[in-house]
Amino acid sequence: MMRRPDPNRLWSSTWYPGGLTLGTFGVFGWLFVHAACLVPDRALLWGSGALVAPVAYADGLVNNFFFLLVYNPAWAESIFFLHLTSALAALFRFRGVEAFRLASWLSGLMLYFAAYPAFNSGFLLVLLLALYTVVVSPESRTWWRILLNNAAWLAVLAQLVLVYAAASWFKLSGTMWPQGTALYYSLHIDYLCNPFFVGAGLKKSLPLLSALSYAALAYQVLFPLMILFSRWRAVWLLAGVGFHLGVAVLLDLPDFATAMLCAYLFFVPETFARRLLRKTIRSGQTHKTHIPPAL
Amino acid sequence: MDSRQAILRTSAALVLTGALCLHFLLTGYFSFTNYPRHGRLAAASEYYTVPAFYQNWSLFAPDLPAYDVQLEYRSAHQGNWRPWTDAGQGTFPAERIEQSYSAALGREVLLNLYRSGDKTQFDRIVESAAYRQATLFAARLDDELTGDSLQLRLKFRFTPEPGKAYTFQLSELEFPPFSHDAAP
Repeated sequence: MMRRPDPNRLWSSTWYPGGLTLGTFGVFGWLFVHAACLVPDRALLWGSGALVAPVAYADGLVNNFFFLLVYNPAWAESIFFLHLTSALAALFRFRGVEAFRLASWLSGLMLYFAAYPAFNSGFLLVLLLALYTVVVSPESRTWWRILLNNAAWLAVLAQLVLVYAAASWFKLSGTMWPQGTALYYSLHIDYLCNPFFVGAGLKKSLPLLSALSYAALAYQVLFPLMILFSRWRAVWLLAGVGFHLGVAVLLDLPDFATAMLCAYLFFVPETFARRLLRKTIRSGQTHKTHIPPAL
Repeated sequence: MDSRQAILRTSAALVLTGALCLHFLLTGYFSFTNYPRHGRLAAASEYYTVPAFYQNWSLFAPDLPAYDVQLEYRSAHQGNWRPWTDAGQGTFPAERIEQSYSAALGREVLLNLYRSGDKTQFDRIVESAAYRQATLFAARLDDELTGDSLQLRLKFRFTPEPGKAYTFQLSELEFPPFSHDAAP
């Protein structure tokens, strides 16, 4: 017999199979570590002595706000340390943490636009996920919080589907990916090749590189279908961990690869994530919340 | 739960769902199209997506460059040119920025370098944003910023086609010297 859809599910239960707790922690953890790694070189990226040539965008209140560091490089230190500290604060769970998450996202975008040639899409992805998780509160039992949690998880899911679908679309419209030569060409570009792991033998191994290229393309093309409809979602995500670790190692793009892996944390079961985080950041809790045994 | 509460909650859920659908419609359209975008939906998607939800997923696509390119620069002090310097040397930001600017300048060369009257013509390139950004980058990398002139050079290494002889064709392209006096 077919069950009628229950509208109460929109706010009285959680749709998501898990992951908001660990996913949110991963996103702001990534932003904090990323900013911390840039502390020694921040003067080269932002401020009046930066190496990046400023590029303005169209005028307007919103644009002027996000491009603040393009127009006012003197604000660079303040915005950078606001980003660093708010990302750190966002790792903990306390009343009002949403303000720190929002500050981390806003300041992160300002930093991105002022020095975009130094960053790849990994930073952008994490910033988008940070925006979606600003209002997340997985422990809360109020109906509107549950509604926002469900919406945040759906937004993360939709964003990931969009990333892989668009990436596949552009790859299929070229010639190298359909011919299986993309990895061969990428490993011959110095900055896309980690010489520690990629030797001359691998660069010339055409059948292997062709197979890896097709496997990477197939993974990305099938990702939206597998993640939305398949019972094999967990297996697919585990394969994705291997795929992105491969990108980190072979193509020397650790920031991009770890950003993608952060997104995968949103699929880690909630109960497991909370057990793990309760052990690691217990001291950050300032108020007790009722956590149901299982969601 | 009374009916008023149910209506309130259902309305909130529908509004939120509608907002999410609209958000992903506009950012999705932006993500699946390339600049320059034409049409009303394209304009709306660009207006909405940039800057707050900016994203770009054409990663390594549609094709990778069939060459490796490096940016080098040198400066002249009192008429004497210093040796060429790799612009990507040293710090992590310099390396990343050099990759971005040399790739953009390399594309500019492939699209806009031409010959006329037995001379290589750089006019379209030196007017480009890629050249201006690379020049400013090199000027800021130059230690003293006191040079009379600055010159950029791109070093290309072309990747052999798969299955053909595994030898690399090398090529260098020196841009005209940039002088502070000659700058507009």
